[in-house]
Amino acid sequence: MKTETKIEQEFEEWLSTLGPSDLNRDLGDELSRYTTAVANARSRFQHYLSYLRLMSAREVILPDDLYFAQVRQKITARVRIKPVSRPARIRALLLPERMRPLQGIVSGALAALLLVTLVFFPGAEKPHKLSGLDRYVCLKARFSGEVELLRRGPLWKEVESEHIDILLRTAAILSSPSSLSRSRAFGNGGK
Amino acid sequence: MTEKIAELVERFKRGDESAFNELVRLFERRIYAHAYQMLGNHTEADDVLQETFVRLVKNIARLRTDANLPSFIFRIATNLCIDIIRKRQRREVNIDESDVEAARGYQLELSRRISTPEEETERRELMELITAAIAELPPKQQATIVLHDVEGYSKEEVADIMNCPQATVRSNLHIARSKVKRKLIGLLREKDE
Repeated sequence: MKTETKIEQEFEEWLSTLGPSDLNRDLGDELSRYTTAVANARSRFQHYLSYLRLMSAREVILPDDLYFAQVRQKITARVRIKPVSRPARIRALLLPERMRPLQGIVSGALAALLLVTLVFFPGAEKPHKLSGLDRYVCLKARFSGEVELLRRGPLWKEVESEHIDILLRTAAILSSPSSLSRSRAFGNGGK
Repeated sequence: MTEKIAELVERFKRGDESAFNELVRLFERRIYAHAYQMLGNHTEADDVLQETFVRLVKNIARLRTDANLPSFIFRIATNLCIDIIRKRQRREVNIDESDVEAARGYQLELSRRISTPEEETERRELMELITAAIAELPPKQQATIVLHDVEGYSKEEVADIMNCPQATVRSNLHIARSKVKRKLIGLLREKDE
C-alpha cells in the first residue's frame, strides 16, 4: 500500500515537471514505468498533455522591427548610463538579494526611532544636571541634614523671635485701658 | 551565450552605452512576449517593456553575478506585470476595448495556422477561455502558470525569476493548474476523446 502511494506521488511529481518543451518528446519509456503501478496512468498522462497543448498554444505575434527601434529610442532618452560606483558594488556583494527588502524596513525603523527620541527627549544629547553636582549623597541623608540645619540655624532663631514679638504685642493690646473698659461694659449688660 | 551576456553586463556596468543597447536588443522581444502573455494587451506590454530596461539601469549594481542577467530582467518585468494586475484587480480597471480586439484578432495566435471560418471562431473562443481562466487567478499564480506552462521555464528558473523557493512555485503551480483545468474541463474532455 505504502509503495503504491509512493509510486503514485512519484507519478504526480513527474507529470508536474513536464512543460511545453516535452510535448514534442517521446515520453513512452518514462510513462511505461508507471502504467502498471498507477491506476489510469495513461489517461491521466494524456489529459495532462492536452492541458499543456492548450496552454502553450498561445503565441504572441510580435510587432515589427520599427516598433522595437522606436522603443529603444524611448528607453535611451529616459536613461543615463554611468559606471557603477565602488560602494554600490560592495553593497551588492555584501547584502544578499533576499535581504534587500529588509534594508528599507530596518532603515525606516532606525529613522523612526531617532525621530521619536528627538521629539520626546529633546535634551537627551545634553549632559544631565546631576553630573554638575558634587559627590553623591543619598536623599534621606540630604533631607535630614537640611531639616537639622533649619532647626539650628539662623532661620529658626528668626522665626522664634518673630513669634515672641507677636505674643508681646498681643498682650500689650489686650491689657490696654480702652480694651479693658470695653470688656467691663460688655460684662455689665452690654449697654 | 551566457559568456556573451556576462561580458556585455560587465561593459554596461563600466558605463558602456553600446553594451546596454546590445542587451536591450537581446531581450526586448522576449520581454515583450512575456508581458503580453501576462497582460494580454499591447499598451501595457509596451509600458512594461520600457520600464523594465529603465529599472535595469537603476538597479544594475544589485546584480551580483553577471551571468544571471536573464533571470534579473525577467524578475523586473514579472514584478511590473504583477503590479499592473494587482492594480487592475483592485480598481477593476477596464482595458481599452480596441486593445482586447487587437489581442483577439492579431497579437495572440494559436501556434497552428487555421484556414476555415469555423476553426477561426473556435480559435477565438478557445483563446478567450484560456485568457479568462488565467485572468481569474491571483497575480503570483498567473505569473507562475504563464512562466511554466505557457513559456516553458523550469520550476528552478521560475523560482529564480520570482525570487522565491521552489516549493512555493510548486504549490502555486498546483493550485493555479487546478483552477484553470476546472475552467477548461469541457475543452480538455473533447481533446481527450
